[in-house]
Amino acid sequence: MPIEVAPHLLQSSAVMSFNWPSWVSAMDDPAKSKIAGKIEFTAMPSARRPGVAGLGAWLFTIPRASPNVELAREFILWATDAKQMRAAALLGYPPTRGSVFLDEDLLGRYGAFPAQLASLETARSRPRTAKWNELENVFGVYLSQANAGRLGAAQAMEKANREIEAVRERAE
Amino acid sequence: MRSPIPEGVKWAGPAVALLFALSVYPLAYSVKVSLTAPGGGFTLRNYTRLLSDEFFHAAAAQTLFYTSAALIVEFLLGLGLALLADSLLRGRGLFRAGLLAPMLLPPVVAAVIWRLMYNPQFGVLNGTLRVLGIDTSKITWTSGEGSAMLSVLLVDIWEWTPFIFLLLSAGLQAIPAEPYEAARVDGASAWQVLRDVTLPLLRPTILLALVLRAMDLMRIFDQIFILTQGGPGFATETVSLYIYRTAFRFFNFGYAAAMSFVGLAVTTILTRSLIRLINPRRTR
Repeated sequence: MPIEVAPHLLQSSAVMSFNWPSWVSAMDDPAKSKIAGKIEFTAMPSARRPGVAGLGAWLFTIPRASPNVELAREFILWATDAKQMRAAALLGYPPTRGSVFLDEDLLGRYGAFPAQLASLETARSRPRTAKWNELENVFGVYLSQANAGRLGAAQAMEKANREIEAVRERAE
Repeated sequence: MRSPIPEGVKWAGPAVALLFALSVYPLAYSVKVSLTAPGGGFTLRNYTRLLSDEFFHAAAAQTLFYTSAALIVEFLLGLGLALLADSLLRGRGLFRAGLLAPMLLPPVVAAVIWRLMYNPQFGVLNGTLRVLGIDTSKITWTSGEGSAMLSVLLVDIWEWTPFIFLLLSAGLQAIPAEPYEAARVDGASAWQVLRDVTLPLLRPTILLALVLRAMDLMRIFDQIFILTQGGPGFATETVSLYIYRTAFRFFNFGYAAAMSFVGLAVTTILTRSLIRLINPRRTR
């Protein structure tokens, strides 16, 4: 279960993982973590250039039909303001601004900040598709089978590729 | 003056209309959805795709395995416990009440409890094994490709064996004492009494218990959804979960409806086969 990933790292019963930024802040908190000061952070690896992949991101959006577009815009500007982002970061939430990632005080608290900033600067959004859930499911199933040793890595990726092509063809 | 509408129609009309609106119309609509192409127009593609869909084949095979394994184990355990309860001279009520407790929990609650117990790091199962000096680093229960299916099966057996026990226990109590007395007079052994008296007289109840459980098992969803969500990978995916995923995550309602109808047909055929197998004289 994805939600169990962070506790395993915090309890030192896992070696490494991909993690959401909102789970990372606890890693450096000795009250919550057995690995404070003993863990390294880095951006997601990529075969083409470092840090291209991204796990995902949460967004503020304003619905096109919203009757309060201006008010919503004002709220977003307020919520992502450096002052609010700093306050949120002190509660463990990941900032959205470079200036907050470079804040000396916060850098002392959160060792993952430089890696998180590097990740944000190099991450590239995947192509948008309405079929993402299905594609992700196919990829996840075969990746898991390779991980469990039921399929070889190459065979799993070939099968995933074939199935993803089929999903794309059905969508056309 | 008499109303031209017959009395029977007036009384039954609202109920029939409600049934039509809530059951017949949605069913007919889902048939239409399963036969409609994404851009509109008639298609059989949702049904022909079933022949080549490896995920559907895997989910169907796992559903059949899950149903067969759970049904066999729950029946044998339920029968054994019912016979044991029936033979008790004292404490029968307490024994029954204790056994029925798991069945009284909502399946979702039972699954959440077991999910916590199965947690490799913090769960009571691995915790107990560690206290006994057993290395639990490789015992991952629902997270392992090999152990996940057995883990979800164990939860089903724990929760639903009491259902079989309850039905068979009631069936045993309904058997009159005379056949047993006659068998004793004839010098029958305990095994002969079980084989030639108890089981034949219990057959209608056994049939009812197996058919009800089989239908329930073939549409298993809630426990597995809470415990593993069909994972890791596809290791515990069943047809119901795959239908849910197809409809509400992939938004392909036509294919989900086609799978539902095929699942319904398979369930009907298997249930009738089960009835025929156990009760060959009443096959109509």
